[in-house]
Amino acid sequence: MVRERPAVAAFAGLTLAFLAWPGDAAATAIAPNPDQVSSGSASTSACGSLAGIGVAWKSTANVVTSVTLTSIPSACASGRLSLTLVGSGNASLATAGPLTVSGTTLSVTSLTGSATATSVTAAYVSVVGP
Amino acid sequence: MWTLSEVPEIGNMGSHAESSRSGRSRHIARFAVPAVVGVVVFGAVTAFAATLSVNGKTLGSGNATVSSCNSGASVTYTTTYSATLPGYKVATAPVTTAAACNGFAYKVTLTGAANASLAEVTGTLDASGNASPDFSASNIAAANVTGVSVVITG
Repeated sequence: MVRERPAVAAFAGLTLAFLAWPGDAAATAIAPNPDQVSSGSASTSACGSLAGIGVAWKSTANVVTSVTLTSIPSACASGRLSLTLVGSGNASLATAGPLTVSGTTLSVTSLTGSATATSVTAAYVSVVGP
Repeated sequence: MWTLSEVPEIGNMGSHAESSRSGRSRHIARFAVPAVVGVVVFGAVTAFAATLSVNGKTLGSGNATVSSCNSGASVTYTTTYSATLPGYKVATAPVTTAAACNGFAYKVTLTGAANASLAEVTGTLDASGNASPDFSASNIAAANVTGVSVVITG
């Protein structure tokens, strides 16, 4: 009985040592599951200089009723044009669009807002596309 | 776990005859030494195992293919007038991808001169794989936008 004790004690110690050993499977069983990735960049170019566009309007009782835009760059055809007439402090007086550009001239007859002709100080134009 | 304080008869060693004391010493030695060895081994293995655990996390590796849900994305713009600029600023930059990208995260970056980032908006693509990131708060003049970058992950 006495001779069995050393063996039991050693067995107990080694058993505990074995149990304390962490599973090394966790260190090797790594299965990457990466996210899908898509990325890209593109340049955004202007269809032309909009600074050369001519702006003329007709008014009734000093209220702008229609605007005619001329010299629209031909490359802007099929683009979507927006127009804003502004007054003092660059405040918006009337807007139109987006309207599809079909040539170098565009007649804008549907304005949102009431712009007094004598109050208009500038016109801003934006074209998106084509 | 065995410890020395649990070894039987150690407290009675002084009450026995010399010959008996010698025999008991051998018993104790036979018993205690393996136990101590077990404890020492246990302790050493514990320390060693802790080291392995940390290294295992660091050294673990694997390979996988990174795929994409779509080969391209289309970006357009909507603009709105800003009296602050003054002029037209970018309102939104609608992104169209593929339905396979639905629910994926996206990031759209508008760039200007020298490819500098002007503004960046992130979000999640809808069920059709589309999104309409809103740049209104960034007050980016439409005329200053020279490029756009899109990244989709999921």
